[in-house]
Amino acid sequence: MSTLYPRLPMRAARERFKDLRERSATDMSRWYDTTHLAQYFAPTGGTRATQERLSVLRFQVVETAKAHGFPSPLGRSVHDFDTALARELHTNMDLVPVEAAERPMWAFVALVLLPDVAVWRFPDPPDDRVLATDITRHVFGRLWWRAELTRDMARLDDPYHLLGVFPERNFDQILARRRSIGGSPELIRALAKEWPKDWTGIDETDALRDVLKHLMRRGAFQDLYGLPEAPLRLEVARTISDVRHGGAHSRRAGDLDDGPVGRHARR
Amino acid sequence: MAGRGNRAWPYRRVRGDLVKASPWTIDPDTDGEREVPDSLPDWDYQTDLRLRRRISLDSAACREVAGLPPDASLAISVRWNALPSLLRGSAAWLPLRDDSQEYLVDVEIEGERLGGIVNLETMLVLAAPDKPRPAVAHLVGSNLWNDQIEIRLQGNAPLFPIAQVPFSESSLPYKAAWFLELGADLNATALGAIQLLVNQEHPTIVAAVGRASSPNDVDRAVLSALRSDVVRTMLERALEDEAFDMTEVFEKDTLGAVLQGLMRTYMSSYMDDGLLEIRRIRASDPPMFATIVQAATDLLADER
Repeated sequence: MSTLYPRLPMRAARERFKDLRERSATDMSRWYDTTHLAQYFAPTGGTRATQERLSVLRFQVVETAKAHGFPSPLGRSVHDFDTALARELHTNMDLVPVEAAERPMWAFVALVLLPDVAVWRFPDPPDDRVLATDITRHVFGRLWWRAELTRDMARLDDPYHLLGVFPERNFDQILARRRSIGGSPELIRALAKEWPKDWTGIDETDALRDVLKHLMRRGAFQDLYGLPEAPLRLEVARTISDVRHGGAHSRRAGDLDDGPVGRHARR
Repeated sequence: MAGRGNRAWPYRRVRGDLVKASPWTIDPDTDGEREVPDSLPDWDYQTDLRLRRRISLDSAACREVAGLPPDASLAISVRWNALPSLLRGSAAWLPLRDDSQEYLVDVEIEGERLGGIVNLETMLVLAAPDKPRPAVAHLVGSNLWNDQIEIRLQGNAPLFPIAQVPFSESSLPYKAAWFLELGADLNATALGAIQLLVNQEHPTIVAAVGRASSPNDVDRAVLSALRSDVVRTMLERALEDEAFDMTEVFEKDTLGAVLQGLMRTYMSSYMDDGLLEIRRIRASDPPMFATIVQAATDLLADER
């Protein structure tokens, strides 16, 4: 059975965020809790996290942060910290996706349980980093989702081996398309597995944007989300190759591979 | 069922009359098998979604209409997407055979990936890339026919907070059927302060709760006893608390406000003097109080 975490209603979260902004970093280390008067839980679907369990989670996250310099400034190890924490949150929280889509739950984690680590990761955070008005921007929520969407159960020895394929700003492009491509773990894993390591001479961020654009356009006609892994990876690999070699700009679903035949062909 | 409207497709598709698809049924091969409703208010995400439909089609005719060669591979694909998780994925992939026109499509989607609104789309697709031809689909997965349904999982009404746990692994008596946890703070949010724990190791209560939407006679009796006991426990919790009074103002959705609501619903006949009379009965004659609650909650009324 999965674990249900306390949820912090938006009004209480905003009050807590206001308090957070008025506190110094030193104050922050003592300003955490495992419970909040306004908290509530999902009515069904799992076992509620006890205060002891929440304390353990806090301890684990703080230890990971300490391994990356906490409370000293994070500096250059941001990517390493995010990758380590994504793996840890996904492994230890025992969350199911539908619970992880609950914004008030992430607001509790950032504003009540781990405000000091949240502010250390994003000093002077804008509200979406802690309130979870957008989970794909939330200090912790986005990392859990990154692990969920890239977890590869075909690699039981290291199911999180794809976590580091895309740097944060690139993965943000995928998360920003959660209503389409970014909601399909199979497609994201195929993309991560086929993504070339070497992008010498090409802007990797631009290339990813183009690949996502072309996959979304083809998805209107092609059932990319329903394909078994083997043909899906072939399709993704072909799209990446097209973008790398500049061919994808002229291709649309229904166009032809071998020559300029039909009204949609532009080659 | 909705199609995709009047989208302009870059290739010929299969006419709707060539694919005969039955409505989806839920919980196939069980007593509860039925046509899937628009809404499943009792669903929670520990429940996997098990659906079935039959599809009848002539693959040769479909290929011909779509302009595909006789050896083109086709498949039935079922995919889903859900709100609020925004997840999507494949639920079934059935390659078509030349020797069969009848297909049974079984789908089982993990409940923990769902919740909110689920959209289930059935498609007839090209199962392998084909040689490009003008106005003919050639990319693998090309959508040749589709329909879709939407199912709302859980209604808008708030559910009573409930969790199944093994009592033998807790401090609770392991033979007990349920335990109602109630927080100490009347101003705490009710959904955080109340939780009904059901003993996972007690088959009768587990079965009754699991079949709450379509209970048999035994389930109905068990659920009636559960409901009555929960109400009595909550009313007693309120009456024992000196800070609880009907004139006290509690914010909406707090434990105090929920207890006031319960008191009004079940004890209104005894509340001419506020809580004085009912508190007196509870203190001086507990068996009478228990019987009053039985009557107020219609204990076993359905079974008479």
